[in-house]
Amino acid sequence: MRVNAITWLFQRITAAVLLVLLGVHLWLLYMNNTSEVISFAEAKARLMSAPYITLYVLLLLFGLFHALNGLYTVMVDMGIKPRKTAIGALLAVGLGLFGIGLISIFQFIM
Amino acid sequence: MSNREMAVTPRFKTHSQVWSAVGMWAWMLHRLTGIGIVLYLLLHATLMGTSLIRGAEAFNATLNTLMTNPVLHLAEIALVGAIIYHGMNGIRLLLFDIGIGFSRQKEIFWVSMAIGAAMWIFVIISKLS
Amino acid sequence: MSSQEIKARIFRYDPEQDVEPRFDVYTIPVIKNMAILDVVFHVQNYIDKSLAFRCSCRIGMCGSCAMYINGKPRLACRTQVSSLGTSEVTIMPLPNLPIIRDLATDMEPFFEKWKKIKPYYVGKPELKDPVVIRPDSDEREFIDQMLDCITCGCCYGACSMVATNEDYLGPAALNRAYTLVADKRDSIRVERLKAVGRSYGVWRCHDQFNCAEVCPKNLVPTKSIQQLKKRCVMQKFGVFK
Repeated sequence: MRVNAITWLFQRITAAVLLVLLGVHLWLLYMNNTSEVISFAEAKARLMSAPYITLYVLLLLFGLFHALNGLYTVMVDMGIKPRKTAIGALLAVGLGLFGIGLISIFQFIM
Repeated sequence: MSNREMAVTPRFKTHSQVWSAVGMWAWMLHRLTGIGIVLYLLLHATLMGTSLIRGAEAFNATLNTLMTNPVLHLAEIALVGAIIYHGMNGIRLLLFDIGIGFSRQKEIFWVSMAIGAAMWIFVIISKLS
Repeated sequence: MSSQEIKARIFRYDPEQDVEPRFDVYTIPVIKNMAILDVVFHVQNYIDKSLAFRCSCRIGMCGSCAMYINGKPRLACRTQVSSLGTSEVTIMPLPNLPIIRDLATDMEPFFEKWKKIKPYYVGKPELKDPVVIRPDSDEREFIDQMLDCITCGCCYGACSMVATNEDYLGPAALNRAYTLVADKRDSIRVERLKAVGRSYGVWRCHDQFNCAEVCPKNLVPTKSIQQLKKRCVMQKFGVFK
């Protein structure tokens, strides 16, 4: 399979980007929260701006790719045989969650 | 199975592993934390997504249930630990991928673990206070 | 002969006779500078003639006597009993390879994979023999150390990716592939990169360093594999042909 080199490279690129994005995500949750329980209004106030929307869309996209490609790597390591089925299932989960995630992120700006 | 058959197929192998090496444990933990984080991510995306699509009320209700549960707060500390481990060891692996540190891999592991532990302790303290 | 003794637990299995492998325990007097190879020879000479193991040169050059000794694949001839720091020694055959009998494993799968990467030099036709790359030229890449491989199979036995995945080429074959790909005179570089760039080639390496941990020649196959990964990516983007 000739896509191995590309997915391997993307796994590294998303890893490097996630180090930053996930760092920001966690920093926001721990350092920028005043109340005990996060409310919709509070989250909306933070998420209204374009940079934050970009941050979370990228986090969703890169996080899902890194996670599901990582899972696929584990499967191949264990010698999974019908690989097409695995790829199909992971793609379906990834695309589904990306769709749901996108819609829910845009709830904040609607 | 008769002894004859066993001699032909499948032939017996041992699969003893090297457990005394740092790299093996680093990899094991990287895998385990990775799988754990994937499971969390799937849950997290599903929970946040489904509640947000249903509107602000549902989102507030979900977060109220999740964030007032003391057990989940402990689990969160474990989750952040797993993310920090996966990230710090990930930096080590990225260094190898750009060709740095093959002769110093164990030292790099312990340095990244020290930094990671400091970060985790910082998170725990800020969470408990 | 000193009065000191060691207890050797040795893996015994004859596929034609035994249903299950077993461990036999032998008490062996320690002599000065005793290597594990001397231990198994002592058993074969004085206790049980039927013990099977393989060795040839006895000085760490031929790579025949690799065994799994106290939790690590090592060369029996280069492992001093005193270096183990214990009086109990467990000796097993090399992992991940089919057992012929007792401590002798069948190296066939190892060399089948070795063949897959075309482990020989194929020079560019326009070059005339003898073709030399001067040691001080920029063309020469750092492969000298990687050429020291004696194909003992220690790395192959230590690699957990080989253990979980029968088709993975393994550290030794990939290390050999790198020494050839890095050679500027090589004419079948793209073909080799295709062989190692498959799913069960370089991409199964996850930087565990078990191979480097056990290599009797102190090679770091992980580094060679990283170099191959880099070249596979570069070739994919057409950086070199």
